[in-house]
Amino acid sequence: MLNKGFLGPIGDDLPSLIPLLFALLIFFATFSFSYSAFSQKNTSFQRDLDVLNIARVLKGTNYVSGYQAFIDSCNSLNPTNVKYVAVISNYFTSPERYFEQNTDITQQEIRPYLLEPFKVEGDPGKSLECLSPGVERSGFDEAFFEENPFVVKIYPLVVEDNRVVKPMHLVVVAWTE
Amino acid sequence: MDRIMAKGQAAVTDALYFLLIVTGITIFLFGFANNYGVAVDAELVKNYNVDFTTDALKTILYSSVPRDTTQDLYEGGSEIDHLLAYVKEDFSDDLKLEDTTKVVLAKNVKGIMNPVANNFDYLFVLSVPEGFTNPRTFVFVFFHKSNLIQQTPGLRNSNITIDPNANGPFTDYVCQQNPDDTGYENLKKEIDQLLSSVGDTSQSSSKVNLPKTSGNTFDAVQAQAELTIWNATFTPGATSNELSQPPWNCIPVDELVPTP
Repeated sequence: MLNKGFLGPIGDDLPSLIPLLFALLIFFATFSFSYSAFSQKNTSFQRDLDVLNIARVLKGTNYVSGYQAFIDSCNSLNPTNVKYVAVISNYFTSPERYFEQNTDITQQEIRPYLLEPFKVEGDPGKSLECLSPGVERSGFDEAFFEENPFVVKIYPLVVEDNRVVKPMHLVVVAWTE
Repeated sequence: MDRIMAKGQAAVTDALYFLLIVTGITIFLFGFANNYGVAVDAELVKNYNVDFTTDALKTILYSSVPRDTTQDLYEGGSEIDHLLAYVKEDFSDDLKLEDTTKVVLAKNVKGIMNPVANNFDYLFVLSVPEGFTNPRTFVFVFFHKSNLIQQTPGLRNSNITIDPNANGPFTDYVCQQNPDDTGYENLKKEIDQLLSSVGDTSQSSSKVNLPKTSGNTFDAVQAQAELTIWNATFTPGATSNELSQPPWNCIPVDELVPTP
């Protein structure tokens, strides 16, 4: 009679297990969310830092004295976790070469990963373009960059071409796979 | 029987306390995770803006330009000169720039700032500032300004929209046309007020030596080139109407007529 209603050591504590399990559930769910958020942010910071480093090496003093100087800078880049495409382009400073006269370039939709690199002395073999190892520009399309979030940084610089110092922009597009 | 029931209640109470503590920790963790990196992100953007401004100013000062405003750098046969040489040559005789030089300079600044033109307003100023050799003067003032208006004029925190009466989302002005004697102080005050009202700015400046003809020789006039950018916003003290009047005396770059 004394044991009436007694369900045993576990059975008696059964109701207390419900809030306990619920607490553990929300704790681990939040922990998992936080871990994923930290990881994502850290990846993003690392990508930003890598892009800054790539840009710092490629632009140097903002005066690119020629094709060879740019390629030397490109070859001196350390391998990073990000894939990148860096081009020097006159798209922004000489829009009349890409559009009709008086076209407002700021109203144009820009796909930075498809920007044409500037060719020193008009020589196609001297394109101011720097790709990370294993990257082919032919593989780029909108679908690719919809799947791979990318970072774009643009820096003004000048390029010496035929003894003329031309204002242009270094465009760095980077992504992680 | 009472003791047995009391034991069960104690266990539930313990569990509820545990739930309470875990909920507190969870809220803290959730908040921390959401705010993690926000300050770093903001700092990265700020640093990038400063980098961009510094690089843009260097690029403006390094660039070559065609002496004929109708030509571009890529045309064969164009007469090309360094932008600074071109500016110095024009400045040396009367300490002013001709409209043709202003067009060339404006075109160069505009091209270099094109990537940020949609999101940022900016001011490029070439001046002989206070503390330097007199006379203090603004040699060239280029103002890229978004045409934004308040939806409810005068109301603080009113929504901002593009001015439907404006010709495009922004206008490029060249200011201090026809400067008078009090132009420097008054415009300096206006610019300082403007920059203090637009929020965070990124600024870069550089000293430039401009020549002044003195008999058969040249004296150096210490000038300063400054580039300031900020997120495009409504600027109550610099509406298009106010910009057209003193001390700004601005006119849209498109209305500047270069001398052939």
